[in-house]
Amino acid sequence: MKSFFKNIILGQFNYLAAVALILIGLYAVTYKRSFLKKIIGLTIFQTAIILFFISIGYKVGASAPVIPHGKGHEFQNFLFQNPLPQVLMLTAIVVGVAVTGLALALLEKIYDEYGSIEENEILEQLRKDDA
Amino acid sequence: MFKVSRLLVILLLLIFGFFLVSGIGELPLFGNPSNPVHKQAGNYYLEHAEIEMESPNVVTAVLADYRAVDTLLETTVVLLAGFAVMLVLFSTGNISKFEEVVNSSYILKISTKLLIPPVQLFALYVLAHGHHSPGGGFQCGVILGSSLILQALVFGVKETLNKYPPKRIINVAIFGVLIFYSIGLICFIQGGNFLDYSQLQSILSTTESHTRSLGILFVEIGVSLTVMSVIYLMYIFLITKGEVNN
Amino acid sequence: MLALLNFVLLLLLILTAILAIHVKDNLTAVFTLSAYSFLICLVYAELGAPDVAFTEATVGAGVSTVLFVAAILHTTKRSSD
Repeated sequence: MKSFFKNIILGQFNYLAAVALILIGLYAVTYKRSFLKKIIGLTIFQTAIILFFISIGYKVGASAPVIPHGKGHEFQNFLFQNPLPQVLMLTAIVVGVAVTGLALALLEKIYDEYGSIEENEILEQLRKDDA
Repeated sequence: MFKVSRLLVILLLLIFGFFLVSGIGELPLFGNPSNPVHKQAGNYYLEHAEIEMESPNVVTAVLADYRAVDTLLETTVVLLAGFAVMLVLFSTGNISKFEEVVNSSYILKISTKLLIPPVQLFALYVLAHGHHSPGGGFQCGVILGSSLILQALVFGVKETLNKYPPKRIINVAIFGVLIFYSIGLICFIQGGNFLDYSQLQSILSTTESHTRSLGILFVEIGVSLTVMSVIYLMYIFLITKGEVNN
Repeated sequence: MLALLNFVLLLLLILTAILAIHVKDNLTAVFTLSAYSFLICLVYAELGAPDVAFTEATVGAGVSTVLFVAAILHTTKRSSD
């Protein structure tokens, strides 16, 4: 138990926080009835995954991956962060906002059609339409 | 029925969380420079980016040169998302029906007029300095787009729509992606790989590293145009519900 | 010291995330999400990823909040949960 606390809570807290945020996001997407809360949950889920990637690419004591001019030859790789996860996540953020915009457009359409953005009220209306 | 399924959701979340947390113990130590991740392509990029394309900011170099096809398709995805928003919200309604109360005071309007040029200048700075400091095409596009949104917020959507009609802004978005694709095609026609900027050397007539640096800049201009237009169009369509004809 | 900052920021992050999905008022939820975005932007900057932090500050905290508010304007401000 003590080693668990020392290794995971203090040493790997970034991963633990990413897991907690993934669970919060997933909880909002599955459990909440309001579609707006589901979209917020989706955003939190996405940032949790980005946090996980950035944490994987982190090196203790290293600087941002901006190399001073003319220093390319006398290069030491532990001085700079790993740029690969950062690049992958940079594009993911921009695509994320595009996805959020599309989700919000659908939300407005749903509200126009049913007058509500609550999942259970919309399901009730659909059942009434069927009957 | 509904209650039971909601309880099941909580139970499944707990099980999923248990597996995720137990997986953390098997991950390599956080922040250790000798982790397996750091033995991959990242080292090559760090060593060669500054020499091969005069770009001290490795992230920009990897984004627009080494992994340019990735960025190309991401930009296309952003454009398609913009199209999807327009298709979902499109209506034949007229903008004149859109009720809007613009009660911005004189001070607010004047200070916004003073504020917008520095914001756009900063966006261009971010674009041009993407090689040397944090920044690049995506950030520049978002800042330019938010300067347009600021105008819509302060002066009203109708006036902004007269200045920047969506029909023209859609063309700008497509033009941005076309810049990216056409630079790739020019490299291809010159005899190299798709998006291999060093093939532009005979056109630009500078050193190879400088050519690749300029290639990154051209591509980022295209990215920023697309991102700017898509963000502006998304805001306009969300706020007017697609009634943008005038 | 940096590890402590990291720990505190991540705790605040989890707190704001819970708050953003727990509050009943939609506008409050969106602005809490904006605060969440700024906090995670600080975490990225502290983990040595200034490009990602810059993008998150402009996109996540700036534009997506505006889009959310625009959508709430045409839907409803209250939510049942």
